[in-house]
Amino acid sequence: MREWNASAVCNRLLPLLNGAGRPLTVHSVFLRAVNLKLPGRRGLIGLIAEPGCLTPYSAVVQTDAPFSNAGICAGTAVFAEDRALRFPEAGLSVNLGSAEAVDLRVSTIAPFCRRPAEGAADALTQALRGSGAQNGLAALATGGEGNAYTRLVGKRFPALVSAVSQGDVEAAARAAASIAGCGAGLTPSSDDLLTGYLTALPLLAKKPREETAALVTAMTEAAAARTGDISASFLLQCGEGLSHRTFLALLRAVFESQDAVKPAAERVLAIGATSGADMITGLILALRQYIGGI
Amino acid sequence: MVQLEIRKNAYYDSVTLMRISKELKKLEGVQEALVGMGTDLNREIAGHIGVTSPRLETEVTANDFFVAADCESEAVFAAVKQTVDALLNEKAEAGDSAYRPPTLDGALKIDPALNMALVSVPGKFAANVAMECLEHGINVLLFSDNVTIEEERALKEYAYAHELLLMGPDCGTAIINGVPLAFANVVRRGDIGVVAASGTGAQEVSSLIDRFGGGVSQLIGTGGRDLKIEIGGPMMKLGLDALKNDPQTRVIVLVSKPPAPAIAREMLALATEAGKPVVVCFIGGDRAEVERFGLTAAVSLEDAAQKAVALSRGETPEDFTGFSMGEAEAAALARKIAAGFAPGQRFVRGFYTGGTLCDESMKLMIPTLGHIYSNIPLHKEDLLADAKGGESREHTCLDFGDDAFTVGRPHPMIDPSLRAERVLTEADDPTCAVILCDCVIGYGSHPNPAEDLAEAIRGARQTAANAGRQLACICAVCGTEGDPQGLSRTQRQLEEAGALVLPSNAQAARFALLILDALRKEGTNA
Repeated sequence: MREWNASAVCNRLLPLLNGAGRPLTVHSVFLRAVNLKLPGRRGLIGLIAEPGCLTPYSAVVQTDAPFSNAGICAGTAVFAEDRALRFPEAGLSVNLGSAEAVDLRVSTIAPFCRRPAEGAADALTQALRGSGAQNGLAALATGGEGNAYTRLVGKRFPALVSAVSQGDVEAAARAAASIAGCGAGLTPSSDDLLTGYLTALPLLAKKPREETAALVTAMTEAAAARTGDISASFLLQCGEGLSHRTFLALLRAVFESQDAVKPAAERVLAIGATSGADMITGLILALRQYIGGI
Repeated sequence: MVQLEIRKNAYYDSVTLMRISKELKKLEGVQEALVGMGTDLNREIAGHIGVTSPRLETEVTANDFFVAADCESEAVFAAVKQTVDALLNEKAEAGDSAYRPPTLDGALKIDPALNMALVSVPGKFAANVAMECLEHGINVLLFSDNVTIEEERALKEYAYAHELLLMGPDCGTAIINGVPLAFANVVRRGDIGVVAASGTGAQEVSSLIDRFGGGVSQLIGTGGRDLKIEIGGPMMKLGLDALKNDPQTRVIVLVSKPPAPAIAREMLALATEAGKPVVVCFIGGDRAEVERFGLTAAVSLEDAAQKAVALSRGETPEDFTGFSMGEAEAAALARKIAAGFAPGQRFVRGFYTGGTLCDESMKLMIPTLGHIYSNIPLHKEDLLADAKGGESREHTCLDFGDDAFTVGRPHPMIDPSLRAERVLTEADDPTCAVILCDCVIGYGSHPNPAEDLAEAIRGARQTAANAGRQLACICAVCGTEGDPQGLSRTQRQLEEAGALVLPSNAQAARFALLILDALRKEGTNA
């Protein structure tokens, strides 16, 4: 059996796999990623080829071939055994045991610091403008030329902002559902925007953390119900207070150092076709809501 | 008619989806198209833009991929489906044949015998990446710039000690075992080896070697700072040594700006031990010094290529300082052009994408012209303030590849539009008589660098004509017939725009001087 090793793993993944009684199933396969479905769990588990970004419930793997050429096919069984994932039909085993375990909780960021570093928000907006992102929702933050998606989401987003400000959980959930699943990508742009916005919310909101957490959970659940499995998975992870390693690094930079924002933003902008830009758009909208003047 | 293609439970990465969307909208007969996952809102958007259908509402779910298009006919939609399939298959096949391991370890796992790396990462990371390659016994072409001189020294000390090439930093050109790396031209393989501390210098020499019927065994780049005192020329030494011991190499060419005297002497002394003829082109340097070592001095990049090919054929190399069209014809043409200028027109303006070509042109012209203002001036007092935003001054030559022009922009060999804009605006200056430009083709360059330039030349000449003036636009194309853009095709584009195309950078610069000399003799613009 061929063996690949994971270099980094979300620290929640191994305990989850240890508790898995039945085999997982391959949900979808790409050149540089595989999604796995665990019975009884809505969110997916991910394997990402190096040097991709570690996401919640995933592992980054040192590969020597694309996943899609490794004999891994959607619908086939995967077994979690001995801190490894085995793909018998592909003759492949991915070892997770010696990988660096990473805590992807948003709460690890500046728990006592609620204001972004001075100038960080400007740097973020400039980075977004400089990326030239056109197919997603970046125009909602930069004021650039819009598209059919920005026109729809732009009309509905104020209702979401209002509901969140008032702490109205039901209204906020409805508003999140009203913009979910809008956009051209595998993870529609509005879902990535929501992820960016809702990841930052607990760090910015002036409400008690538990209240904000309840709001975020309700909104992500409502949005997840209106989009595809892969995008829903990221929304649900956001609802659990988890985020991509690269996005966490950006959040850290936003709260700690303006100088670190641009390089961190550039790494997020490299995610997907527009996903990174849309997440940053969501972050900027959250910053505007609570700080203003950006 | 609105047509719909559904792929159930199908997931494609976003980059592919965006590309499909972009390509479909270009198809003839497609009024509108929407591509995406079948979420409620995407179906709503489909309604807003007029590509919805009953099937979209009833058969598509959030986990399905759909293509909805408003097409002129079913045949057009068939083309839509074919395009989608082709793009998805291309992606699938690319996974097979073009898998690029994202890490060095991954690459070595696939092929432990790897021995060359091209490093192009931001400068602050470049030294570490290059050293990692060297430590694995891998030769490096370091394309990155913004590597400190201390880092370069450390890298080259390691590389030299381990007999590995560290070509760079800021090295744009190499041809190793017939494989062009970064910016390079398609040249015949042969017995002339080149070691160059200059990118476009190497391209000009190798392209002309090919044009003169010779061929290149190896082209080793050293990076522009290799011959500085602080570095000491380790890669020039290693390159020389490699070519000395290469049985395929019978003639060696060294190309560089003139090094510091001590370094020059060291390199020339080493060259005398090569056991093969060595042509030395220290652009604008002291030929007597080279000849004192018994080596062949070149007076230009073209002359270096000519002499190398002659030596490779066992012929006696002779200086080439004239014109391929013949001296008499060149003089007559220059007189004819000079006679057409309006009073006041008297200056040359050179706009280059290749720094070495700009440098060579200035060195060829300055003994006659005295001063040439530039962003890379030969004399400090000739520095042109605000080269990018300001105006030209008297005789001016600009290197558009210099940092002043490239911050936040691609290099002009990749995006020549800024240089083209300057050509156009120069036409408004009533004192401008001659515009000189290079046009570099080959791998890495813009797919059609002559296009923007030709349009600018056309526009500039028209602007001048409207004001009762003429502009002499002189160009030289650096490249070969084998290059993707094609030498003669590129030359023709420029000629059709009204440019006079000379066979080499040196001839173009000399011809500009011929015109100015004829102008001076005319006496109308003294």
